[in-house]
Amino acid sequence: MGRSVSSIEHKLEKSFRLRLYFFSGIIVMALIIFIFQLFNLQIVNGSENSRKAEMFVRRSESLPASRGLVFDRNFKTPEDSPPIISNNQSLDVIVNTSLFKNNPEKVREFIIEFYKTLSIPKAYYESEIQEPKFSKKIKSKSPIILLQGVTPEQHERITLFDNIGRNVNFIPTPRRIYHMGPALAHVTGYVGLPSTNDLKNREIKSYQLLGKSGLELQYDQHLRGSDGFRIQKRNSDGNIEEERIIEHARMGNNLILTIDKKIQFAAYNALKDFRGTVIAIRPSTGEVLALASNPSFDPNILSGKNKQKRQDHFNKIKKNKGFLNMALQSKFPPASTFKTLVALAALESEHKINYMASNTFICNSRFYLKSSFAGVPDQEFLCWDKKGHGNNDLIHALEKSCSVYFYNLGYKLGSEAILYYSRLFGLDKRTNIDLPGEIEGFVPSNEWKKRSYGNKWYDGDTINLSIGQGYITVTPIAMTLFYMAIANNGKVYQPYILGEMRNPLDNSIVYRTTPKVLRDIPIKVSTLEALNQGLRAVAKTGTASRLLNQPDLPEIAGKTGTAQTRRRGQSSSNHAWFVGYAPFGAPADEQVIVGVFVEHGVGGAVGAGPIARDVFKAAFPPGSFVRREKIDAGPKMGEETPLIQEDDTIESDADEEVSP
Amino acid sequence: MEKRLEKLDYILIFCVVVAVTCGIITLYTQEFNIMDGPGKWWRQLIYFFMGMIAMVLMTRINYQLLGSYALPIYLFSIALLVLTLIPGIGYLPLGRGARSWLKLGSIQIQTSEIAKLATVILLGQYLVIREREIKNISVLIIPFLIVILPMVLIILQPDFGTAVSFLPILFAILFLGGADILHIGSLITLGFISLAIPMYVEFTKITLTQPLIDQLVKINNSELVSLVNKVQGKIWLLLKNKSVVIGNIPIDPPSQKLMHVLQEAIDQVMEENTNFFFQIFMNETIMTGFGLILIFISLVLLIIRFARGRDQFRQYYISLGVLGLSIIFASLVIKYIPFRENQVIRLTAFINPDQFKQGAGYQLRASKPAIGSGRFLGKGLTYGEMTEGRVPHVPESSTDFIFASWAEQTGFVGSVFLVFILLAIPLRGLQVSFESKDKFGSLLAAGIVALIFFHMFINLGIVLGLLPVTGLPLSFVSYGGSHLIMSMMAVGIIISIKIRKHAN
Repeated sequence: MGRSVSSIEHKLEKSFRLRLYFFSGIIVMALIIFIFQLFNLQIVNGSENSRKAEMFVRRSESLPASRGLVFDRNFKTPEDSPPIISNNQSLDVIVNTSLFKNNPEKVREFIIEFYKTLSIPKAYYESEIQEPKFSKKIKSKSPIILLQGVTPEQHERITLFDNIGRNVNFIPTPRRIYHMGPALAHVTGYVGLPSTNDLKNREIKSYQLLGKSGLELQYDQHLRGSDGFRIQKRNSDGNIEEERIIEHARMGNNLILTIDKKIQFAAYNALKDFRGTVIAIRPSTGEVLALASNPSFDPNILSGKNKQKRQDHFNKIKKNKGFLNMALQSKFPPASTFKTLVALAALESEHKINYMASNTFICNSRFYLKSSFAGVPDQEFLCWDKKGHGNNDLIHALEKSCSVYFYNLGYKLGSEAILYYSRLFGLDKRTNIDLPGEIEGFVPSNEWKKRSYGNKWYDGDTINLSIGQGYITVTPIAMTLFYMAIANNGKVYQPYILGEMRNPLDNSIVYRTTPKVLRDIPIKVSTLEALNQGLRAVAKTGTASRLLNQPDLPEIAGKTGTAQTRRRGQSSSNHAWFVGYAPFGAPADEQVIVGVFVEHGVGGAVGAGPIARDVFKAAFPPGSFVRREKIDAGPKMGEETPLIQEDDTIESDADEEVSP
Repeated sequence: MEKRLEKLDYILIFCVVVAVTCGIITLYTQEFNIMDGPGKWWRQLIYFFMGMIAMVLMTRINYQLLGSYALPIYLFSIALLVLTLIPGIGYLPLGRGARSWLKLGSIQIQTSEIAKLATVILLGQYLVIREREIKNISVLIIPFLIVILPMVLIILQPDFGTAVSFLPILFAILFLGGADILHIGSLITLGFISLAIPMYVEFTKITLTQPLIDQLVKINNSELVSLVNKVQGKIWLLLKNKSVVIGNIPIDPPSQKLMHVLQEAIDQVMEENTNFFFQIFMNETIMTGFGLILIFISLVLLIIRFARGRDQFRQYYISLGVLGLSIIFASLVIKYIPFRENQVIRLTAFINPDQFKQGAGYQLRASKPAIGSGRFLGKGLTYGEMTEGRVPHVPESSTDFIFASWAEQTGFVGSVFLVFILLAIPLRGLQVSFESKDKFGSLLAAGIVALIFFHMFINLGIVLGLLPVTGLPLSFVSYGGSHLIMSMMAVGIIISIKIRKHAN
């Protein structure tokens, strides 16, 4: 090796060494970069990455449970029996806001693009993307429902457009179908999506259905079941490779109601356009065979997918007070139906006041209350029949609904006893029927009057009370329950609508309601006999006989009532009552009690009678009963009409119509 | 005279053994919950022993011999690569997309591994022979060709990631071999532009899939809509009249009439949605023309330089020439080499993994949290939920992404430890290169260091989310016999160089 070569070698060697150093520098640089990135991932962002990793591992999907079905009392098996409430599977489209890093602007952009792709006009969703509620919704991290119930065309379109399709999820959601619609609406209630309050207070996802009223609300937990849970592992393309079901969805239980479809339809249809309510109960158990209230609403619309329709319907019904279940949630003066209670009170106190059913009072259509103050004229109370009823004992007084008789009786008895028995029979208490929102009736008292009106209980108040007017107000169901006591020897059973709860898979009984005695009032046999006879007379030959004494009906016993309203000059504005039971004399487990109340029904017989007739007809179809008595062509009573009074405790009405 | 042998580099051996052990431990923990019998860890252990034998063998061989036989070895590896490409002889495992193996009985050999080592040896030898003329650009053509040949054969498998990994190794060896930096820079530019422009074009075409569907919906051609929707990015292959396979179902290109409609729609979409550059790139004439113009100018400058006799314009004519060439190359690549859709997506997904939720983006979205969730001390061995099991949340957790598995289980402490150990190997190798008195030894050692280092660099870069996904294993750690044995052989060569330090 010559010098020249070694010098080249030497030079090369130097530059070679330099380059080696440079290269080692790169390796060291790489080391530093990697350690830095490790630090970044594991220390600085360690907790966030842990969370992300956890999301990967725990990426789960819920398996939605289907809501329980509801059947009427004639249920055999889920396959054979037509349901009252059922489900219809549909797909909802939801967008997962976390895919957009919960950025309201980005989400809004996407939503607009989504609807544009599906050619849905802005008006449909405009309000939903308004601030500030939109940002709040995004912050709450709940998935946003873009479409409820997607049509097959929409479904295809969404999957076609990958930029839309991969940012949304299809959630199978059942839709509720209410086969009886408005006819049973107050009992069934309806379902809807949870409100923000609901989401806060309950264990529920934002796209699950929630009972909002009626049985859907009352038994929501049981109907809803619980969602299942599965974990999915994905492969390198993100497709599902392995799936483990951690928890199976538990479907909601089916409910078997005590309601009889036929009777319910008859009851609801009979109400027609009148505001009112009908209740039908089996006195031996408390089973509610029918409970109708009008005006009603359509739960199919309220549970439906069209938001606009829902809003419109909701507003319309709300304006018309259609959500009010008049059987439970409104109270009215019981009017002449109260006379039965006065009679009961008197008979039970017969020794104290020395009174018997055979005692008579003369009615010449007027009753005078002596005034205790000099110079103040006597108060005059009228009977509804201007001609007067003549001399009547209790049974005939009930038959004709003679007010004067009861003025006398009430005056003799005193308000104490009447109010006592009112409370005893729970006229001021809830029945605790298994529906939400029941209110209590009102039974007045001396203390109450002093507090509210500043003066004490007057005799005049007692007189009014005797015919169920004045301060006392009762709910239709409470009044119906009173008559259950009469029909059932003093035993009042708790009314209930849920007969059984059954497992949806094997139809086994999960729960069966046992009839519960609400109150058991000891009533003298003689009292019951007298009252029953009187009530039978009402329907056979009395105020209700024209409509209810028919060969195609069983023997009915009951009481009409016509409640005054505080409206001047409108006789048609009186409320109509009828509460009765049939077949008269049959054992309690064959009987049905029907309570009818019609707002502005004109009169008890005219307004409530036809409805009661329809319901009894439905409850007792031909062949299901045998009439023991023949129809006799005896005198038929006139209609119990509104009262004419001239003093100011009761409104006077301009004209009263007396039907032949 | 008995040539005195140096001691073995125990540190180097130690690092290698530790790295492999970490790999085996990781593999064991991944299969901990699967009761299927001895799994990958066991096989890796066997490969390790085989690798040990190979390593010891290489230390006994004088590396100079390798130099003398460099060309036959290289040609042998090329032959193997060609064989691998032949269906029937080459083996295409299910689930993987490339025909990269040769099967001999129950043994599978990944031939690209052999090619990598053979190429490095040949490059080393060539650069030593031509060491004096290294500054001459013409000398660089041969190394380029030496590398291009296996690259092309590997791309055809197709294994894009492995093929591309040859390039940084080439540049490193050229650099260490003393080539002119300008030349190297030019080569890098040439390679980069030739690949980057077609990449960009392919990527744009893929993003056009969606507007294309929109356009087809607009003109109400439902047949084409559902076709494009089914094949997505592969529509471009169909356009070139090639059949496509989607989920095992072959799909033929559409009829003439439909093609026409499709092409029209595509033109419309391109006009509306792409930018100026894309349209230029797609236009072959402009590209070639432009490239030729640049080359022309460069030649002019070259002629002037020679005419004047002075050494000037050098940077200009070189750069312009290279630029021109690369543009022409790029255009050729766009026209003739079909990039597979997922390769493209993989590369670009790393920039924005969230955009590609499925596919490549998913790997990255899973890998980084997996590593990060290890935090300081790790989740503990066998507690790596993201990376264990039959279907781990981080795909390829036993091969390409094995570092994520180790990191998840051993945390920052374990990860830094392993990174140190791993990068110590090329550093030790550089030390050997430094100390070798013979040029070939230095170059060979350096070349092997480049080979090993770039594998580590690229793999760790990918797993840590710093580089696009290309599918390179992590030397010594990843599951895979061919790579492990080759790597250990390579280390054996380094040791061989070291111990013969004074024996020249």
